[in-house]
Amino acid sequence: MDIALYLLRVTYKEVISVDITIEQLEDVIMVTLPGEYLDASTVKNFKSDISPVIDGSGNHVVFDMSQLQFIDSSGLGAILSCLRKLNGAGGDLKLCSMTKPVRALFELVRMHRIMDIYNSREEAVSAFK
Amino acid sequence: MNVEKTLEISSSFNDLPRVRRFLHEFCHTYTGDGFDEDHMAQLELAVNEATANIIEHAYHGEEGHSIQVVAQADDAQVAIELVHTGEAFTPDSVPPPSFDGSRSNGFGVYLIANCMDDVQYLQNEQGKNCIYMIKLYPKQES
Repeated sequence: MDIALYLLRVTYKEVISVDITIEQLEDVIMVTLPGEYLDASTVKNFKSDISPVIDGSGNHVVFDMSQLQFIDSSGLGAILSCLRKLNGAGGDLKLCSMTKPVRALFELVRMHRIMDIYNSREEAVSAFK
Repeated sequence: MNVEKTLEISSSFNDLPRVRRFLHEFCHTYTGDGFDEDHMAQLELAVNEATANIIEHAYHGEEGHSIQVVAQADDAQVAIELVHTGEAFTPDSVPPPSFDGSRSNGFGVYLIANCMDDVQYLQNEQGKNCIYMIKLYPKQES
């Protein structure tokens, strides 16, 4: 399988320096969400960085969330927004490799019923076939 | 044991990680076996959301204002008081969340209410607006 690897390097303004990793796996775009947290302090940069992958595209996208240890309502809202934009353009978003605290938040607000969540990257990619 | 610690932050979203670290260390140090990791995560999430609401709604996103995070622990509970000088924030002013994914906002107040055992939006004795939250230790099974 041909794997084209793109690295979009992003430096956040505050305390940490992180990379969003975007990989093209055949017709699926795999995005590894950066950093330990996606909250109101990082969500603005996240939206900006993810925009080329999401806006106006009918892409099949997977968010690998294995690095995220904390997400708040603003981060959740940003991910929901990505789902709506992709669906609106004929694409779709799947999530994978959630840590326990992040999974707990999704269950608390019942978003595990709205979004497709998989245990591994492989399962999420296969779900698009 | 009764203990109280205070953290003062600026009304900047960039200070949210500081608030979470402060609470994490406070709970680890002073609550003993009172909370497990899941309960601490709920407390951190609720206080994170309440602080973000103060920045966004009470201070309208304007930086440079003060927010005091007062944490108190005793044998039964942890109480958190967020004191600010911005506009009084009332949860009724925020529309309820949509659980069908059609809206991205409105989850903050819902999360606060569901992660804490008691939440009050009030004025303290000094006349400052505050959000007062309590989380009880879970009952230990004998």
